[in-house]
Amino acid sequence: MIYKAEKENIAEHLDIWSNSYKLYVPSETGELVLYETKQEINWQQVPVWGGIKEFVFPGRNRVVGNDENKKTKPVMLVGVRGCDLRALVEVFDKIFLEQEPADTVYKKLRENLTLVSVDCREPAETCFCTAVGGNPYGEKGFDLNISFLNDEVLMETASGKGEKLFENIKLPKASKEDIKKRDDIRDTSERAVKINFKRDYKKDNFREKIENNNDKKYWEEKAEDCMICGGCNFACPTCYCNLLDEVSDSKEIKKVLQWDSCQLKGYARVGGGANPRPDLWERFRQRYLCKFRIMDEEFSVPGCTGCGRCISVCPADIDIRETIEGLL
Amino acid sequence: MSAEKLKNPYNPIKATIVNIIVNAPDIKTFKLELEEPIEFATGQFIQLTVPGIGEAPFTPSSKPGRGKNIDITIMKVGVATGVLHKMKAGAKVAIRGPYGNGFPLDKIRDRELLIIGGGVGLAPLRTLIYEVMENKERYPRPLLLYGCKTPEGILYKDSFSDWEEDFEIHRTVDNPNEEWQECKGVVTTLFDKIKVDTDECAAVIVGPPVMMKFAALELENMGISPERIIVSMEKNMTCGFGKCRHCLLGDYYVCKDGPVFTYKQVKGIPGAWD
Ligand SMILES: Cc1cc2nc3c(=O)[nH]c(=O)nc-3n(C[C@H](O)[C@H](O)[C@H](O)COP(=O)(O)OP(=O)(O)OC[C@H]3O[C@@H](n4cnc5c(N)ncnc54)[C@H](O)[C@@H]3O)c2cc1C
Ligand code: SF4
Ligand code: SF4
Ligand code: FES
Repeated sequence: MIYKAEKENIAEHLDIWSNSYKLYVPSETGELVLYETKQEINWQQVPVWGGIKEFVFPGRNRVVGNDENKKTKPVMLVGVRGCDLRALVEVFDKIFLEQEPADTVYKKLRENLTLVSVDCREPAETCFCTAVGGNPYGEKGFDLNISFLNDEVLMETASGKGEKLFENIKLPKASKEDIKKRDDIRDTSERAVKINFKRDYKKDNFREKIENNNDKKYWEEKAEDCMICGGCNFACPTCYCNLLDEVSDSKEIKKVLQWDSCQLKGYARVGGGANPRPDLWERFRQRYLCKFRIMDEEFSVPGCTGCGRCISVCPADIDIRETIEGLL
Repeated sequence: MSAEKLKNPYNPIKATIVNIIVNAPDIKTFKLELEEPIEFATGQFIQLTVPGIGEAPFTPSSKPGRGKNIDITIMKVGVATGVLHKMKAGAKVAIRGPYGNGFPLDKIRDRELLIIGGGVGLAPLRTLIYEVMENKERYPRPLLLYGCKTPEGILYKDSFSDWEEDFEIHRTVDNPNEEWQECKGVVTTLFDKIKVDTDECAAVIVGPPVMMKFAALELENMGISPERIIVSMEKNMTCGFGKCRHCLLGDYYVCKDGPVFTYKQVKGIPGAWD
């Protein structure tokens, strides 16, 4: 269902929903926009740091030895972007819910989450979702999607959870013209994103280009400035490599799951010291291989949704687009 | 919503070390009693929790099947195994699993079977030896080739005399002592001593990566199809069930597509033996 509302009404709606949900909204915190429990919402600045990942798969999370039955207030995450939704639905849900055994800790956090996405109208210079099969608006996986028109907003529900939000809020349905207006705005945004990376992962065959290039020199050159900090992995909405930290005491078994990074030297090291990828260039290339070949094979979408976070985060100014461009 | 409550896959079953057997310098067999039974097949592995230290994957070395008692034979190589080796009977650990595919019985039954072990690699192979001994009619001619650095390093020293009834056995060591009267050299030197129908036989190799690499290569050169050469791969593992990506080898998850592979599947993959 697509409803239509006045821009000003959104605050009232959020107010109503905050009675039943713990609300997180994108808001300015220093130079960054983060999901916070604050009131002021920055609807347009991207990327929103932390993204959805932290809400379903926290950076460090006790997975054994916590109270699994503890009740928590439902969480509503407002201002979610298409790129992050895609990573959640196409990668995380598949790995942690669909593929057996399901991760019960993830499942609980995921089911507790109501996702309110928003169309991007001001893509950042680092955004390139359109080059990797995505779009600057929620396509699937949201419960409610908000599209800002000029003075009005369209609110599209896509699930029972989304529909439930309007049980006590009466709004008119959007007309054909309203939807046309929304789609025109979306087209404009798409064009704005396309300027950032004028390539298409399918047509330009990123996968084969990466697979076929095992030229040590090329990858060494690209990885030359890498500081091996792992930031690109931690910031990425599709990366979920993890380690189990054993923190049991004499009374109880306790384990903490924490993010890991394939760029770190010890990532694939085996007992005794053997290492399949001791050199940085191999690990650097592996990240591209993993995203554009292995994940593409596994999930039928590449493991990059073009959110651009790895570009902004990298202290060495390494740009995934430039690395790929050099292979085409 | 599923009707049945899902189990947290990271939650291990508590276990007690009831006995520790010293097999060789740096190799011990830990006899565990679990609070709940598990059922494992030959070649499958478990994740062992060393409380407060870490987890590490091991293949049980006792008879496959269901039960609360399993043996794990462990070589001391680093942090977790180092702490394990200092533990005494009565100590508490935990395990989860079993994971992985195990040895492909459909590929090895009713053929001449060449079991090739190197060092601590005999531990996982012991479950296969049990499989052969329990199902003799399915293994027309089993052979066991075993290589070790030193005679002291040989695992399960007392068991060979039992196994000799069912297996043709050849052993070699890199560094013999004065008493050693069997072969000297790496395990592939034993290949000259055996006669097998290379068009039909199957081989299972478990040992250090370089040993598996060269043994598999040699067998292929002898004319055994890479599809009938079976190896068990060791890669870094966190979860054991396809959710951490540490074990990726090419497109394969070693934890769930393996750890047992045919040589054909893995031979061309960069880093396979590192
Ligand atoms: C399927 C499978 C079955 C196995 N079966 C057996 C068996 O039956 N018997 C047996 O003896 N062994 C077996 N192994 C090998 C066994 O798992 C390893 O020997 C064991 O994990 C070593 O643990 P450790 O902590 O002692 O070694 P360490 O070398 O201390 O480290 C092991 C882990 O810690 C991490 N680590 C340690 N130091 C560093 C560092 N400097 N930088 C980054 N990371 C580091 C690595 O990620 C590594 O995975 C098996 C392995 C696999 C995969
Ligand atoms: S963020 Fe940049 S410097 Fe850090 S590991 Fe990734 S590529 Fe290397
Ligand atoms: S690889 Fe970079 S641009 Fe692509 S999804 Fe991950 S963080 Fe975003
Ligand atoms: S061990 Fe975690 S994916 Fe294989």
